[in-house]
Amino acid sequence: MNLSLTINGTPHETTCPASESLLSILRRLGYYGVKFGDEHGLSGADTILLDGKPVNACLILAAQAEGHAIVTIEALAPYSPLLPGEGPGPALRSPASAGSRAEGVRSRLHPIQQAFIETGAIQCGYCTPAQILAAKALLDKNPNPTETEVREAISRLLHCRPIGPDPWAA
Amino acid sequence: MRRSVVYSTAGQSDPIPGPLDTFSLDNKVRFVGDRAAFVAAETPEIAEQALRLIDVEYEILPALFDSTEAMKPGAPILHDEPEYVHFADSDPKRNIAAEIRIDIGDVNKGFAEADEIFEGVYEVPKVQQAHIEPHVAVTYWDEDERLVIRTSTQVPFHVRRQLAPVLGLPVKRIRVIKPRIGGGFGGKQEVLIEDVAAHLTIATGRPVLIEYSREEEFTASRSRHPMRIRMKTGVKRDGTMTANEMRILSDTGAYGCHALTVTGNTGQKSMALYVGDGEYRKSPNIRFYADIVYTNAVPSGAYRGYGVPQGFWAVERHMEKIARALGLDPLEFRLKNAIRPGEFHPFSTAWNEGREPHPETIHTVGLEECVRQGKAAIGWDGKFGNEKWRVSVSRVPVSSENVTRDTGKHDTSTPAKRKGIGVALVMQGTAIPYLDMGGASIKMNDDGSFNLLVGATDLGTGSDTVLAQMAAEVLGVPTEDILVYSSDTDFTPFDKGAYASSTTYISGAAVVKAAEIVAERIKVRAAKILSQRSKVKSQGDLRPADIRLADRKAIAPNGESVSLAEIALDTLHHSEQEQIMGVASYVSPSSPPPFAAQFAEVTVDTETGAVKVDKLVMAVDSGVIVNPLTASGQIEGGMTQALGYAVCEEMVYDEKGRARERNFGGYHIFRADEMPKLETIFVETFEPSHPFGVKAVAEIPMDGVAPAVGNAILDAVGVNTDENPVTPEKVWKGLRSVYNNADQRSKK
Repeated sequence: MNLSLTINGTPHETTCPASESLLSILRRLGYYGVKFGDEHGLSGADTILLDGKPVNACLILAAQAEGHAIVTIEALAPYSPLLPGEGPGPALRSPASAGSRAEGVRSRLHPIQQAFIETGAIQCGYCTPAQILAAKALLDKNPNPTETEVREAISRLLHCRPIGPDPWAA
Repeated sequence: MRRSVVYSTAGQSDPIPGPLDTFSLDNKVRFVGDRAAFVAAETPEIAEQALRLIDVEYEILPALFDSTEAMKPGAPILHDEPEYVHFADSDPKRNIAAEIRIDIGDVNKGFAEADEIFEGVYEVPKVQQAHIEPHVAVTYWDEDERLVIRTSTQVPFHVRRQLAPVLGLPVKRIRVIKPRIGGGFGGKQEVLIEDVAAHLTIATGRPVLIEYSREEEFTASRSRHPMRIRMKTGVKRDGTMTANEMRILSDTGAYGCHALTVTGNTGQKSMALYVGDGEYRKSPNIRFYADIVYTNAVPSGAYRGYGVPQGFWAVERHMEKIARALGLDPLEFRLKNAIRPGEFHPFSTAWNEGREPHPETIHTVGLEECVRQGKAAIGWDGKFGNEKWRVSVSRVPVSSENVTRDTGKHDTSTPAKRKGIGVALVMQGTAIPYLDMGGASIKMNDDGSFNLLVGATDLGTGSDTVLAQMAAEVLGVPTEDILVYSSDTDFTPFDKGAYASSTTYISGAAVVKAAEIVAERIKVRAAKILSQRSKVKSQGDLRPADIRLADRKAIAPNGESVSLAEIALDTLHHSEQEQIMGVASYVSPSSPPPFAAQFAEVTVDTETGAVKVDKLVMAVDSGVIVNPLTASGQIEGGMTQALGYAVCEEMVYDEKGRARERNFGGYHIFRADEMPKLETIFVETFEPSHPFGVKAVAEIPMDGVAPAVGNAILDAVGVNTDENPVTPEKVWKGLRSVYNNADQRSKK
């Protein structure tokens, strides 16, 4: 079937079998930040935002996402290499970090991504895009969540061995 | 397909310390989930449909599901294939994949000299690694007709070496690449599915992707060895241990991957912690016997902790019972008998995974300090043995109906919930001595940055970061000036892979050595540049050794400096051109154990048997901590995983050997929001066998949580649960027998 999807604000025209999951098509279109964790959405690694709400991409069909705003982790810090003539970003201009590409790129990260880095909320990183999107959905709705609300937001989505709840507090 | 190639899926160094008993495809399937055929298709849907069209005629053979039946005469024999290759004492005619008999000292004499002998049987279940990224591999022929295997593995170099004969290709025609991967926990120390994709690429000439579903992770992957562990311990009345014995029946499932080494490690680590005291300390009496048997179950394998969590469940539950029976303080009793610095690792004189043993001295033991700081953090002194604290939980309303039906013993004046506190001391190892090797190379670039190439395999632990930090420290540059590329058999030096808690220690030492070679050469060139540049004649005496590297500069004692970028341009372009580069490898003559004191605080519901773990404190001596953020991430993640082992994770099979748990709905692993308070304390020692003084972090958090929780439950309600996980049902049954006993006593 023919399909038009709006992913991170960009329209995509594609064809797919009616049975294809949104997860499968997102990865096919190059949005590799969304991951397969299990076929029941219980790991939450397949979390994306659909009209601002976290959903499991492996549990909905690609066709169901038509007409909805799909947001993946790639939307938060779009890859933007320095173009000729553009000049370095602010971080690169400071003498202390001269020559450091890493710092230049890092300055473009979303504040939630920055917070995850600073608090060490990453082990393997496999479920990190999902966690960050879940955090974004929560914070967009409620900029000052209580600990209970944070725990609730994690619990709906994520199994994760490597990290504890503390980074969310940051 | 070449059925005749028998191999082991265990990703280990050559020669594989276990039997070769596996084929890519065999004419016999040995467990529900074993392979019957391969299908490749353009889409997963077509492949699924093709699978449904395959009609397999099975000749049903008798099955063996109970490990206690495996060695009995007349038991079904799983491995009767003529190609079977033995290792050590494997005996497939008796379903024995491996057998271990270790006697240290004179155990019988030790028992004869004991005032009391304590015996107990402990059981641990089969559990799943449950890495969030399933096994996944892609294979393709590259433009030079070499087979590329891009795979989620902990052991890229072992994959290449071990699969070469299976695929009928020479090692040099295979390239294995490990990209960023999503966890492994030992499940990927296994050459599990790469052969499937590779066979199909060889057959079709086309790229092949194979990815496990979560269900396949449960039914067709690997798991932790379930064990039945018999403890026998001789003790003097003052608490001196005179002899300690562990006998294990371990279930390797259908194949013997990691059979010998996992169960060997169970004894080698958990039975090494307590050596006895006084004259017994000088010559410990320790016996460790194990039979590792085949059954028609999903194969066991490597899982973070590698046999040691099983051992410490038995040892630490047993030690707690002994301390209480003798009226001794459980921590003083443990420390009295625990190993101390300067003593031999007792097993190092007797056993080395089927290889020649080398005696090893243990240099650093931070146990006493771990106990001191851990006790303070959890408030041990105010809680242990304090009945007021135990009943300090807010009272919940109790329905009279429940009370009379369940126990008849409660009235509403008795709190339904009781608190308890428990502890376990544990040790692990750091790499396999005289065997595990890691290589590293470092190359200087035009701008004074460096390429660091390591075979070391970051499976999501952050080892790439930690190794870059170590190189950066030696070279005097920020970490971002170190460009890490790892785990590619074509480009990086060899590394045995990510297992046995070894990367920071082994691969890290290789990185430090390579960085030192590079630093030395940079200093030689810097001395030359500074001497020529200086107008002061005396600078001609500037020795390279006097120069230090810091802030991207080489700095002379008088403060003059030259930047690494200038040195790089000079050496690559201007004069006496050379590539500054270093390569080094490291093998350790010892496996210095990290130690830890694991504390747990629980609340037990005396009506339902439900256990809520309120707090876990782990004080750990892992030597010097290179990166506190990633190290505490490892400890907290490990405690999370270990808590599942303590209270809820278990793989159960029906009478036909079919798995009950097939997804994260039926098999519950702890979510971040369900975790109790976690506290990690690093008690840093300096391990002299390593240039930066480090010991392992990765596996030790798996060891102590379950026994600490078990001991805390004993403290709370007087119930001994000898089988983990301690589910509400087991605790509830235990509570009933405690009440019944109390009932009988009161009747007398």
